[in-house]
Amino acid sequence: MWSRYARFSVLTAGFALAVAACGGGSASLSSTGTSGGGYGSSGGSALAPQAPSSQQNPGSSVSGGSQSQSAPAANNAAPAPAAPGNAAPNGAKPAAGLPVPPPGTVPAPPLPGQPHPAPPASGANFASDVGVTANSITFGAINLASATRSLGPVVSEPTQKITEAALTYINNRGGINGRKLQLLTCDDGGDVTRARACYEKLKTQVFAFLPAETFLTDVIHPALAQDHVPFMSWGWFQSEYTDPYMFPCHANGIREASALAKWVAENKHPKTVGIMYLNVSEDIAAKDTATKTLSQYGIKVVQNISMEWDSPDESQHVLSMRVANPDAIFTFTWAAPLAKFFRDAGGQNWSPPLGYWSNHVTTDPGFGPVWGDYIRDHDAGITSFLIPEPWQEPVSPGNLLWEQVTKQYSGYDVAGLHFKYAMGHHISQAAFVCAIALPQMIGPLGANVTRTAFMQQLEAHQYDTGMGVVLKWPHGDHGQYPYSFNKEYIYQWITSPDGGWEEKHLYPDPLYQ
Amino acid sequence: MALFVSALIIGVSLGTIYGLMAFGMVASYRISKVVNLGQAGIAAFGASVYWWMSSQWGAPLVVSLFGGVLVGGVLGAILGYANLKLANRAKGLVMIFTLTVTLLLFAWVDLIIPAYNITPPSPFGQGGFNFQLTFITYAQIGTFATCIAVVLVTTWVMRMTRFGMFVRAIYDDPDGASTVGIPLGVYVVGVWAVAGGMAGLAGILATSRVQLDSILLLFVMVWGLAGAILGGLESFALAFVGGVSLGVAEGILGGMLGGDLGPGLENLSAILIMAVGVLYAGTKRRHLAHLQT
Repeated sequence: MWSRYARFSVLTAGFALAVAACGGGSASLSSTGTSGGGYGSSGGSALAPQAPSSQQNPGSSVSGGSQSQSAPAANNAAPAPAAPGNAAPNGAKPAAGLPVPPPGTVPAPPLPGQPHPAPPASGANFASDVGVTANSITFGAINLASATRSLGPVVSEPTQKITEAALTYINNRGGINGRKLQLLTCDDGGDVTRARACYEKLKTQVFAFLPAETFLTDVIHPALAQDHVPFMSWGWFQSEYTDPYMFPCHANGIREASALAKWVAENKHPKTVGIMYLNVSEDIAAKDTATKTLSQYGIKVVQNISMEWDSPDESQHVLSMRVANPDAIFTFTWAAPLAKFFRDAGGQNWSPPLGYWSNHVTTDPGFGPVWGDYIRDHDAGITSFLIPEPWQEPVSPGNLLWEQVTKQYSGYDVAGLHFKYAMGHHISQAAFVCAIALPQMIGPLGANVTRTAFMQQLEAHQYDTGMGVVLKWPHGDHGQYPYSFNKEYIYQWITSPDGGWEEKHLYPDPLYQ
Repeated sequence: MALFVSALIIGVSLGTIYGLMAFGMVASYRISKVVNLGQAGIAAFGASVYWWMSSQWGAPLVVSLFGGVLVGGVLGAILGYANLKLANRAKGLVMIFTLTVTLLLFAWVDLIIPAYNITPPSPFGQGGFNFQLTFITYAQIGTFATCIAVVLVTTWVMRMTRFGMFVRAIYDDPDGASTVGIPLGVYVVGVWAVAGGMAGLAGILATSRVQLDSILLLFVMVWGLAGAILGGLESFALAFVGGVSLGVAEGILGGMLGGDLGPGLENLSAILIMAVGVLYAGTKRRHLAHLQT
């Protein structure tokens, strides 16, 4: 008898597991909000002094842009991606035949493609678009938090937590024009198929997506064009910059490679270099870009090493680099094989005379112990944002706010890591700056918050992150000049005064041109 | 010449990891005719037990090593018992069952270990010495020596002991062995337990050289399986030779030609070399039979 029950239980559990595995990621609602004065037209309290600020894009015909402005962005002259069916003309009356909800009922958000209800004559908040109600705006985030073998928890959990913390921070100051912000997250486990399922699940529930780590951002472009969903993204793929519905909050790796190669050529003057890159399209392109840039300075690439993320050992590649004997090595690769390479190179007590020059992967504050002792004095990396280095120079306002929000709402221990200075890494910075700027981005829209108006607002204004980057997404091509990450930052790992890991800001700051 | 010798040393060192992983697969295949894909999961779990005992509890490395191998043996025995219960099922189904066990153990390991990369301490200590163009660590030497020792001990047990004689009898004719009174179930579970212990040992030695990463061990198992196939999954010695050959191919290709090969071609070339070896072994199987242990 017991055996039958046991078999039934096992079969049931197995079936549930299979359904869970095949049915896409799981979405979990993270709702935040208490009291406060509020941002936007109806808000009372102002954002903290360190918070990002917005201003009109140069050349834009749109007026205003301050956080207290409430003029609907539908009046903006800057064109936005066409979104048929999503526009909610000001003053329009409800379409004939649409059901009228009873008084006091918060109407359900319209489905994509359906007409949006017109704003009430009183100017009060209403369900103006998908994911928007009279008292809330829901955002989505798709990440790879459970992709343990791709370092998912380490990279995604900090990003998710700091995004939630930023929304809590905003909600505790009244939200945006009285609307509280909510976050729906969906874990794709690093699987693009599951990520697509996450997107399909969330697109009818959320107003827009916020930056998080997902490989979906390279393949979702046709769906965004069809569904007219704004997607603030992590910037990893170059295609994100040319999608009119995507608003990258982080620099692109290929441009990073160009800026880093130029900087090293002009400031370190190597005669020969080696390049290590991951065998994926973006890093291969980064390698090619760096090679082209270096050739303009007469610098010879004497060794190219293609890395696989699952390699059990990198000793042979250390040997290969030792034999080629370059003056410096560029790395455009993933953390796991690079960590193995550093470990093996450290074991062989070898490094190139001018050190390693890496993409943003190596520069995250607080990650020193993950890389080990070898990285100190050997590696420098380029990164999108200033990072807090209190022993080196004054901490930037954006980083102060990052740290403050972390301390107040989130905590430093994530995924077994104790972050030394701030909440995580470069993508968590990207998510934070775009989330914390939502009051500036949405507040001016007033009660009539629509996806179209939101995208118009993003394209018409620029947002100072306080971390050394002014975000701007020019209409037509979000990567065109003035590119948000035209200037980046280079940090070198050194030993801190307390014997730990510290990063030193190297000058001049590299420029992408 | 120095470059070649250095690449060869690196390759042999890599190959010993594959060889260790292949041993358990050969053992379980010989007794049950089942390709045991549970080895990777057991290796990951044994390694995580070793890491937990040594790094979290502060147990001596030898005790931790024993703990990891013992847990691997217990898991192997459980898997062997399940294999007995599934004896009437198709071998392919049982093989998929062992793969399922690996995936479940991976999930368990992922819950145990931290989310960031960790490297368990090597049972052979840190350090090493320069030789030619590379640096030979004590861990590499220890792993290689352990691998050789396992081959020798396994060969001796199989040829010179009553246990080995019974195992060979079961391998040659299970029904006949049962008829003469050899307790089939005990020996099947026993051999799978030994295979599990080998997997635990392979996991500990491999992860202390690189890092404790379950998916990494899955790929190590695949490479190990490729090496084991060179001997038709029947010979410990040939599995060792196959694993080392594969590692040497990787070491030489990566160390000497890595910069000349395009993205992905390094692994592909190693696989091609291995495939040629497997095809050769397949056609010459009878000539290699005398090498079976």
